[in-house]
Amino acid sequence: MKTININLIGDLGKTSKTSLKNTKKGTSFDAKNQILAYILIVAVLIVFAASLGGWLLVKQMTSNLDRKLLKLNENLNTLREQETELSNFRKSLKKEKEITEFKIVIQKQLNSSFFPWSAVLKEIAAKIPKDIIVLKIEKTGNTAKSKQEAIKLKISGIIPANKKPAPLMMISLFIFNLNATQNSLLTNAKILKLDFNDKTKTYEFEIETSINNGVDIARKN
Amino acid sequence: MKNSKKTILITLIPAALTLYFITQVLVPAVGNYNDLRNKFIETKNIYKETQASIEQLKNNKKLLKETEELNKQIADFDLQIPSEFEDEFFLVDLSKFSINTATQILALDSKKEKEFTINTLKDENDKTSKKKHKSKRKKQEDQTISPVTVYEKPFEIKTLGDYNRIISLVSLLENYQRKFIINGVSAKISKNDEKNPNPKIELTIEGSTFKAVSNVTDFESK
Repeated sequence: MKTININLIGDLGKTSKTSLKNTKKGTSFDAKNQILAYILIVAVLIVFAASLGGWLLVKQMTSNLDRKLLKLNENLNTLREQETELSNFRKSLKKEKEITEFKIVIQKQLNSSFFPWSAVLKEIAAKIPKDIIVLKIEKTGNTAKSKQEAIKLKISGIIPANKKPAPLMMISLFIFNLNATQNSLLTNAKILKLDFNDKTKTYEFEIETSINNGVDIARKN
Repeated sequence: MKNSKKTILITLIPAALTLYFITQVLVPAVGNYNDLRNKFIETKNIYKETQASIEQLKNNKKLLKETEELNKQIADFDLQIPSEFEDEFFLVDLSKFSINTATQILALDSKKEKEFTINTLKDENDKTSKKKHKSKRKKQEDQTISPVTVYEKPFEIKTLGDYNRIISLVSLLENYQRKFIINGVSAKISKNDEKNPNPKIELTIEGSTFKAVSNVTDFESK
């Protein structure tokens, strides 16, 4: 079925007026919206552009910083290597110093054990009367502690009983000789033992003498 | 109304995209930059610290000088107290001494080597507080390893010669480049020479040579 639209003049005028009004109203609304939309778009674009610019700037700065950090890390690694090297050197130096100090202690202790035997033997040779035979010289006391503890020598010997002058005189002369000189190495001599050996017909004696502290015995120190 | 919706929609798309860009690209980029910056500052601080530490370490001159001074004091240590007893060299030198002093070496008896105790200052301090901290001291002693251990080898050297020559031999031994500590002497008149007015003497010299063994590896581990 087909319909025919009959255009009545009165209706047409009414219809066109209302539609025109409506059109006018729609245009004003769209225009406002459009402006608003444009403003929004522009604002969004500005924000976007700013963000993009900011992003590019940050990216550039990050890249620069990254390069700097890389270089800094390289330098740091070099420094660390140097530090390790120097630290090892210092360690070895400290160790060497400690060993050296210990060696000095060893040397000092051994030097303090030094006792001038040749000087003692020379002095005994110079002061011993004829016919007395020294058999043994024993050292007692520690040279390392010489300042606190006196070093003593025990001189053991014999003298034939048939010798003249009397053997006892000779022994006493020996003691006298040892005590006579003030600046000698041996001092404060005294008799410890005196025995007559019937088998060998000799007098066996033991003399104890101290070492003079005034004389530098540990000359090697 | 349809148009306005369209317009709003069209406007919202770039806004959303911008928002997306900001949240997904810009903010992480800034965060990344900040992280990197912090890392950079941290690294820079470490760098400065390391630099300062190096400067401090470079200042080893004092320590080096001290060690050098100390080393001068023990310049002949290895000669005096070698790392081995080197009996062969000792015998050669002894033979030279006997030739030089016209004495005769009759016998040489070497005894078993033993450790020579070194009394350090630390030991002395330990001794004073021995009673108070006995267990502590014991622990400390166990832990302490000296860098060098000294061993002593006692010798008994029997020599024959005129008294004065024997004194010269003793003197040579005293002044020997190697450390030779004489502990005692004993003498007797040579049996073959008893009737002689100036008899030869048989002198027995008791002395020791020393060796210093380094304990550096044990010392390092401690």
